[in-house]
Amino acid sequence: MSVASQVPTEHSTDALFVTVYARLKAMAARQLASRRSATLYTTELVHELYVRMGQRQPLQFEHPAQFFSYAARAMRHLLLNRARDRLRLCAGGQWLRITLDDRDMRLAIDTAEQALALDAALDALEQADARAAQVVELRYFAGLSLEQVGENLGLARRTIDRDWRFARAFIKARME
Amino acid sequence: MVEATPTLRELFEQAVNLPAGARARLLAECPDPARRAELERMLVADASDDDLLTPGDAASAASAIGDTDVAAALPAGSRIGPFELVEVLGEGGSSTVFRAFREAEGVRQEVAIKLLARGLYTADAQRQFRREREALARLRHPGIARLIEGGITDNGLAYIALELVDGLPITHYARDHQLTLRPRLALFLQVCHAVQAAHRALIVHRDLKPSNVLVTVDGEIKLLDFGIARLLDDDLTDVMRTQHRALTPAYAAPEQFAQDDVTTATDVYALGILLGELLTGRARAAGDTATPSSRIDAAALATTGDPALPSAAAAMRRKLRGDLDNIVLKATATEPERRYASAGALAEDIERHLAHQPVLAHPPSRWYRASRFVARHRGGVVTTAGFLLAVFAALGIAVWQARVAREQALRANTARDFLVSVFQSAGADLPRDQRPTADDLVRQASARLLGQDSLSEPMRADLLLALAKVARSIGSYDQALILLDHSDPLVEHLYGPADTPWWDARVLRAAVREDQAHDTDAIGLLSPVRTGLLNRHDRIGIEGLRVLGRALLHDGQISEGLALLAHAREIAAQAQWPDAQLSASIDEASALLDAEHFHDGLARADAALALWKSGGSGTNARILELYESVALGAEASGDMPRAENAYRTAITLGDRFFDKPNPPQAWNVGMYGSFLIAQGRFAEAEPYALRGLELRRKVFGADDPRTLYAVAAMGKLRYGQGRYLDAADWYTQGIDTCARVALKRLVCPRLLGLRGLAYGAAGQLGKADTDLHAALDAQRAFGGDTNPNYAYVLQQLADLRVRQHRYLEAIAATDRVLAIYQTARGGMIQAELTTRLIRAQALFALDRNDEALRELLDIAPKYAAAVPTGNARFTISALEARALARARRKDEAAAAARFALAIRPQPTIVDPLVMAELVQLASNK
Repeated sequence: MSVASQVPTEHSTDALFVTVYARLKAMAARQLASRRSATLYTTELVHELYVRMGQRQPLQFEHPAQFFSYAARAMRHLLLNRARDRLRLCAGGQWLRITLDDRDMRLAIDTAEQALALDAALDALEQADARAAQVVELRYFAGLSLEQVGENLGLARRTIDRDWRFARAFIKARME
Repeated sequence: MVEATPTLRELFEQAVNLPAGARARLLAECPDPARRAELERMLVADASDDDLLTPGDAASAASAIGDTDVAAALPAGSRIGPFELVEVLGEGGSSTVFRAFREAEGVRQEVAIKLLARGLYTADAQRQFRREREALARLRHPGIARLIEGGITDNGLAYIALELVDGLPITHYARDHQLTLRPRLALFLQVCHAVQAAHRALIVHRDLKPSNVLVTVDGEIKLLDFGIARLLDDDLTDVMRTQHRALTPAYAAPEQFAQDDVTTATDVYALGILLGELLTGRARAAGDTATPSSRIDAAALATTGDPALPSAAAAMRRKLRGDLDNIVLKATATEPERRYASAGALAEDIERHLAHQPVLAHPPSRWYRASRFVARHRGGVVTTAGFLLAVFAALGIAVWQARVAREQALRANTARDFLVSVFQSAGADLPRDQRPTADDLVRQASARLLGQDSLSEPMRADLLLALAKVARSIGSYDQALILLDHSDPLVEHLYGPADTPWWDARVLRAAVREDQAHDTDAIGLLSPVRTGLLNRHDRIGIEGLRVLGRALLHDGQISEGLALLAHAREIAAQAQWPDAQLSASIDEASALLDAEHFHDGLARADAALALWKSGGSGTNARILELYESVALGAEASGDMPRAENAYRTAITLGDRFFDKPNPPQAWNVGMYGSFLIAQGRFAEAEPYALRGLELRRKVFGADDPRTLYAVAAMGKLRYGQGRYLDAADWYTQGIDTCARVALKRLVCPRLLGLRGLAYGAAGQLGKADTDLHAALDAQRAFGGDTNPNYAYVLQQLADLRVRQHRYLEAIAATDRVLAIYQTARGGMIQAELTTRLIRAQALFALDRNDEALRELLDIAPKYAAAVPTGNARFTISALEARALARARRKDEAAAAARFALAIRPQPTIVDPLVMAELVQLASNK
C-alpha cells in the first residue's frame, strides 16, 4: 500500500513536517559546522528534500512512523542521486578542472562509490530482513536515534539494537 | 530428523555472542562455504566501529559528495551544444557566464553562454525550461540582448546563449562620459522603453541592476538577462522557487524578499532604485529610504568621483528636490500598487518633468511617511536588538564569576566580536525590514560558533550555553539541544558540581527537555541533584527547582511539584529577586489551578499580579499566562465577570504582544472559546473556538493534548447547538488521536465521556453506554475514582441513566458525583449545578416531586447567577414549572412556564411535548 492512499488526516502532516524539517536542518547544520563547503549551504540539502516531498503534495501521513520512513526514503534517494551525479561527472573525462581540492575530491568520489554500494547492500538487506533494513533507513537516513526508531516502529529497544547490529554488519560486509 | 537450516541472522547472532574458540568451531561447522565467508566478513565488520559511510551520517555523506559544480569544471575549449567556450566572464549564485563562439558557414559568432549550476533531470523541469526559453526567444527589441539559443546537454546541463554585448554598466558609462543630468535621464528613458517592451510580452526581468543595464560604445542601451532570473530558478517547482529566487538585495523589491508574486511592478521598483543611483552617482545603501536629494552632500560628492554632477552640493540638491525625488519615491513604494503601473508610466512622468509639466508623483503625506517608517523598522530593529539583548542577557549569567576581571573582559570582547561576525554574515547590509528573524540569527550564530575553532574552551562553553539559552527562549528546542550537545563535553571537562557552569548546563538541558514535554528526562537530570539545587540559593538553583517542579507536576507528582515551586518562590523572595519571584509565583499559580486547587491558585495569581504591577515591568508571555490563570481561577470559583475580563485582557495583550502564532495566545483564545461555550454563548464562542483550534494545531501540533482540548471544545460547541452527531464526530477525531499516538492525558477519557454524552443526547444509548464505561475505566486508571475528573465522567453517566429511565441508578450516580465535587475546593460550580439538575430530573420522573422541587428552587437562582446565558436555564425553569404544576401551585407554575418560554433556548434541544406543555401551563390561569 502506498503512503498516499492512507486515510487522509486533516492536519498532521504540516506539524510533522515542521518537526522533521527542523531535524533535518539541524543535521545539515551539524554537517556545516564540521566542514564548510562552498557548494552546500545548511538549508540547501534540506530544501532538496523538501522539494522531493513537496512534489507529491497530497501526501498524507497517518502516523509519524510513516512520515519518518518517507523522509528517510527521500534522503536515501537524494544521496543516491548525488552520488550518481558525482560519478558521472568524473567519468565524463572532459572535466579536467575540478573545484574541490584533491583530497576533498578523493573523499567525494570515494563517498559516492560507497553510497552506491550502500544502496545496493540495503536493497539486499531488504530482501533478507526487511525490518532491519527499515531500522537502517530510519537510523541512518532520517537521523533518528535507536531509541526513537524503537518508538516509531513500536518495538523494544533491545530488538532495535539487535536489528541494527545485524544490519550494520550485513551492509558493511557487502560494501567491502 | 532434519534440522531447519539456520538463517544468516540466526547464525550471526549466535556467533557474536560466542567466545573466539566456540565461534571458530561454529564457523567451521557451516557447510556452505559462501555463507561461511559472508558470516566471517560480517563478524569483521561488526568488530569495527566505522560508520556506514566514511564521512559519517547521511547528511555529511551527501555534503562530502557535494553538489557537482559543473560550470567551474569546464575548461576553455569545452563544447556546450554547438558552442566552444573561451573564458569565464562571471559567476553568479545559480549560474556561470562564459564567453563562447561558434562557426556557422564560415562566420564566427561570439556569444555569452549562461550555464545553470545544477542539472535539470526531470522531464517537468526540462519542459518548463524550454517553454520559458521559447518565450524569451520571441522577445526582440534593440534595447534587449537577444537570446540566441538555449538547450540542455546530454549531461542534463541547461544553458542559454545570449547576444554578447560589449558595453559598460549604465552608471559607469554616465560617470566615464561625465554626463549631466539631462542625458542621464535620456539614457534612463531608453531603459524604461526596453523594459516596457518586455512587459508587453509578459516577461519580467526580476533582476534589474546596473550590471545588467549596459551602454554600448554607440551609446545604445542593452539590457541583459531578461527573464533569465526566472529561467534560472534552478528547481522549477513553486516551493523551490520561493526558496531560491534569484535576487540582488540592493535592487530587489520588498515583495521579492517576502516571496510574494513578482510582477512588472517589481521591475518598476528596481528601475526606481537605478534612477536614484544614476541621478546621485551613488549606490543607495540598502534600506536607505532617503530621497535622492537628501543623499547629496558635499562630502559624498567629493567621494563619488562623478565630476559631471554639479559640483555644488546645494545646486544639485535643488535640482533633485521635488519632482525627481518624488518620482523615485513613487517608483520604489513598498506596496507594488503605489508604484507606477508600468515602466512606460515611469518614463512618461520623467518626460513630463523634462518638459516642465507637473508630474504624477506627489510627495507622500506625513502620515504615509510615518507609517512607512514604522513598517520598515519594526521587524529589523526589534529583531536584531532583541537578539542582542537576549544573547547578552544569557551571557550575563553565562560569564561566570571569572577568576580575574581581565578574563571576563576578554570573554566579553570575544562575545562581542562573535556577535558582530554573526551580524555581518546575517546580511547586515540588507534593508532593515528584510533582515533575518531571531530564529535565523540563532541558527546562523550556531553554525558560526560550531565552525569556530579559534576560541578557548571556556569561551566556547560560555557562548554555546548562551546561544542555547537564546535558542530555547525562542522555542528552537532542537537547536538548543544541539548546542548543549556541543557544550556538554567541554563543561564536563572543565567543571564539576562545585562550579556554576556545570549546574547551568544541566538545568538548561532539563529545562529544554521539559519544554519539549519530556518530563521524565527532566526529572532524571534534576531529581538526583535536588538538594544541591535547594542549597544553591541563586538564580540557577531557583530555575532548576522550577523546572523540576513543573516536570514533576506534569508527571502527576502533584504535591512534590508544588512543594518545589513554593521553595523556588520563597528563595527568590528572600533574595529579593522580584523577577524570579514572579516567575515562580506564576508557575505555582498555574500548577495549583491545574491541580484544581482553585482558591489557592487564584490567591497566588492575585499575589503575582500585584507583584508584577508594583514592579512596573512590561508585558511578556508570562504575564499573559498569569492572566490566563486568573481567568481560570475566577471561572472555577464562579466569578464569571472577572473570568471573562481576564480572558479578554489576556487575548488583547497577546494580540498586541505577539505577531505570530504562539503558545500562550493559542491557549488563551481556545480557553475563552470554551468559557463562552460553557456560558451557552455559542455564536460568540464559535470564532474563538475555531481560532483556538487553528492556533493550537499550528503551535502545538495536531497530536498535542492542548490541541485535543480545542477539539473537545468544538464538540461541546456543536453539542450546545443541539448538533449532537457533529459533536460526536469532533470527539471521535480527538479519541482517534489519543489512540493513534497512545496519549495518556486527562483529555482522552474526558473526550470519551463527552462522546458518550453526545450519543446519549442523540438517542444512541447503546453507544453512549459503551463510551461512558470505557471513559470511567480510563479515568479510574488515570487518577482513581475519587477525583473531580472521574466525577465529571460519572456525571455524564448519570445523564445517560435518566435518558435510559434508570432513575435510581441516576440518583445514586449523582450522589456520588456531588460528594466528590464537595471535596474539590470549589471549581466545579457549574458542573455541580448541572448534576443537581440531573438529579432533579430523576426525582421528578420517579414522582418524588417535593424533593425535585426543592432541588430546582435552590439551583435556579444559583445557576442564573453563574451562567446567565446557559442552556440549562431553560431546562431548569421548564422542569420547575412542571413540578410546580404537579404540586398544584398553578400561579407559580404559570410564571415559571412563561419565564422558561421567554428564555428561548436553542430550538433543536427542546422536546416539542415539553414545549406544548409549557405553553399550556403558561396560559392556565
